[in-house]
Amino acid sequence: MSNFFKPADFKDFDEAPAPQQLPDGSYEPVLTKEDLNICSRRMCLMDTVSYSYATQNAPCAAFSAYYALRKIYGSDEDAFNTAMLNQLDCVFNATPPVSGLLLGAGLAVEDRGHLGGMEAENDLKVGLMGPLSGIGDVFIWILPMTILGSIAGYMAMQGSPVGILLWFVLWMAILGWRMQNYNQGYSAGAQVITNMADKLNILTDAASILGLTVVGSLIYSAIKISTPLTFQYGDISLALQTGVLDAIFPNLLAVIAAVVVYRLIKKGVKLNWIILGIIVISCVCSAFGILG
Amino acid sequence: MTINALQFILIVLLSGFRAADMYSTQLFPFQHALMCWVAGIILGDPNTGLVVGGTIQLMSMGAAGLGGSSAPDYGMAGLVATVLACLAGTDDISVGLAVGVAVAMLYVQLDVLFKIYNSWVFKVIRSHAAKREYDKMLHSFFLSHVYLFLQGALPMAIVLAFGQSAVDAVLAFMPAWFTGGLTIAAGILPVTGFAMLLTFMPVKKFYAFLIVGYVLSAYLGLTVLPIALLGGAVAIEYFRLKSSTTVTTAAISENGGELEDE
Repeated sequence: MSNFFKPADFKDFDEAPAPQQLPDGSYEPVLTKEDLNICSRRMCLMDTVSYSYATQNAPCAAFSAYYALRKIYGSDEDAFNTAMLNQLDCVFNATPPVSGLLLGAGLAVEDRGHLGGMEAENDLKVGLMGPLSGIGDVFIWILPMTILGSIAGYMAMQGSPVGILLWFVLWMAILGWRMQNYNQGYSAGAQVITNMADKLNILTDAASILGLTVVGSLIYSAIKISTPLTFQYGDISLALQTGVLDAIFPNLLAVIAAVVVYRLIKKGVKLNWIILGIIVISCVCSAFGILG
Repeated sequence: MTINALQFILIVLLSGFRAADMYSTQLFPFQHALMCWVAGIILGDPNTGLVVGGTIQLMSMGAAGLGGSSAPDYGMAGLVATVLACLAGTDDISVGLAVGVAVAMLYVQLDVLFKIYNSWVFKVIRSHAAKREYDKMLHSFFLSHVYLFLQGALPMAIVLAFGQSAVDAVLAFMPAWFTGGLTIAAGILPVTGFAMLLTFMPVKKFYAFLIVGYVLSAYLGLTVLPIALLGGAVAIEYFRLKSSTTVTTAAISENGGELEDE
């Protein structure tokens, strides 16, 4: 287990080799695939757990890179200390499962440039964390939530765990990919993130089509509102729900509710007030027999 | 039903693990239905866990994009609601759901406390780093994990200890319009999840597919899985057409260039 989060060949300052400077002023890169995989695994332990108002998520990045930095600076404890404090102090915040791409690219700069490359590494991290999170939020949170989350949620409401298991399996695949993402970032550098942003636009649109189709179906099937009101014209009685509303559009009240709540959120009404409002309206309508 | 000591411990551990996992390891982030199902299994009523979890899951859609304290903590809502619904032992989950959501609205305010606490943890980590006490520094990171675990576990222990009598007391007082209202609200509340999610999606560009999904389920009676597959088919075709149009336009302009050369 110790080799899972810590390199097997870890050496303390007094045993580690001194960094090898090349004639052009850069350094011989020392990080191996395994070193970077360890960074990825360490990131899985942390994600956003150290998020604070001080340097946001920087401590998590520092924790992940700890053994990689120890290896880069070898016996040079002063340089390591400077680099470590820099990791802690350089503001960082990106979608956790993909942040390894960017942090790996940063380590590639530091592996060659050492303290001289630190400035470039910081600029890289701060400059690209926004775009990377934009991609990450869509592909890691919003799309799985729409498609897998809604299938899981809807099937669970019907009493079936199949959707839950489907989501679980696919999430494990993402975790598997995460376990090596520092390597991808390290070898591809900053370019991969910039390229990704261009290519992924079409993919995001395509996935949105799938997501919206699913949401459209769930507005009909997962929201339950109906009214027991009945109109009486002499001998003829007309049930408002089955006779009028369903004849216009099936589950029309759910569609109206979706449009109203969507507008309210767009206008910036706090979600908690909307939830309370729904509960209050439900109680009032229940008391007067308008809904049921 | 009443719970035994083992169930008490397992549920408290589950709640603590969920709270810590949400921010740290992210093995099951936002998978509320899964957590509720597991809680239901522990309490011997997996079906109630599934139904509560599914409802909470649909309510929570889109909350991932918000983050912070602007939405209730749906994971906590799900676990509290599952526990209360299982304790009540009836098929009606509405009271458990309402209390769970209320608890989660208060609970999410702890998020700010956590971030303030983390500012202190950061100071500890940084001072160890500055003093070159690296082992102590590495250990200090886990102060955040411990805090999160307790933040999830302690409120759940209170709910388990007093939840049943509190819900019984509420139920004894409650007029019919109130219980009726909660049942209606339980049916409507998933709408907040869909609406929140739509605010993150390109609705203006692709609203037509909302109509497609609605028609497939309302008029053709398909369930969500086949609809997702159909939507996936359209998405694949869209992706292929879009990617190839870019290539074709490039090819045409190339051809045009060649003709002019001739």
